[in-house]
Amino acid sequence: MKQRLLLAVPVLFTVALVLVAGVVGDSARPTTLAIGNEAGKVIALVGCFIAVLVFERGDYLSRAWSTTGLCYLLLIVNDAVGAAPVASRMSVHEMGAAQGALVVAANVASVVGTWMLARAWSFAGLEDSEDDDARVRRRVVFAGTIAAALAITAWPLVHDVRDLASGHLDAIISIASDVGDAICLALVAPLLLTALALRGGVLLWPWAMLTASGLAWLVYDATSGVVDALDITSTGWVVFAEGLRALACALTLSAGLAQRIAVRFADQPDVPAA
Amino acid sequence: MTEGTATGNAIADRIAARLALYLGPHTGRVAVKTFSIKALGRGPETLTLEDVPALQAALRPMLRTFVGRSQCEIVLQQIARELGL
Repeated sequence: MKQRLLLAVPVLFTVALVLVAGVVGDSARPTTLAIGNEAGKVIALVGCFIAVLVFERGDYLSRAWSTTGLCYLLLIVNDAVGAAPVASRMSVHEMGAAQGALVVAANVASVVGTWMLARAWSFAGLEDSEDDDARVRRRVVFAGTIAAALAITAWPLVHDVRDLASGHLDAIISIASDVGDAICLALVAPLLLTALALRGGVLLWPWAMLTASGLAWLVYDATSGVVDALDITSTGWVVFAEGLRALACALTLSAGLAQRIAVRFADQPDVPAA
Repeated sequence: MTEGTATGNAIADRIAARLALYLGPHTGRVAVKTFSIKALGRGPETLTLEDVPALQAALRPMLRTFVGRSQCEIVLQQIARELGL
């Protein structure tokens, strides 16, 4: 029950950002959305940190959450490097190299962390328990999300590869980001299947919220891809896309909190079995 | 657990019910079946109290993955206590 209430956190955060971005003037909107973007990354990092702390060092999920959190930390550092006080002390070349390295490392961390969280079911040895129907279902859902991920990320990837081919070396950063996004979006399938398998138990909630976060990233990537491709400057679209990013980040916070509640469930002295 | 999903073995059903709090009723039941066969070479309907330590050892890696080492031991102790071990 307590975990279900955690769904209110991402909804409130997103609604607050969208409302504020909607009512401020055009001149203040970019700053408002930038603050919302950074706040989203910070709360996602906090969610990962909360989840890490509930485990002991070396526990499988401690490593998975640490790696996911590292992605958000690197993205925050990347934004800090791009901020005026730091950027003014670096040459364009130095800044490009630093930001490129940070974005590539963040994408690697995101892929590895999401893969570990998605693989918990198999790592726990529960894959052996599946019958043939369940295996087929798992493969079909996985294939479906791979197709969706490719459909969403193919256009920006082709665009960035063309840029690289025409001599823009900084396109490597965008390509790393596109590939990372495609893999993470495809990993929504095993997250979803794990959540479905855990329904009725307290461990459902972390995986359900991670799945919801992955879906929010999926829609965000699709929306921002359309906004970029069609060069849309409409305020509504831009705020909508940023709202989706805020939702995805805040769902990671809720997933971390839900993970903590689920693990601490065993501490309740006399929880009767069903 | 409902009548329709129980194994008919009180020990297996008790363990599955404890695991169900974390994993949900379906996966709790499937876990007992999978790890009974892995650890003992037979199904959960044949479980006796003497089999429980071996089953707990087989469940340990799965529980450690999902709830970590220290909480895993608490869950295994709760199972043992419920079964009067």
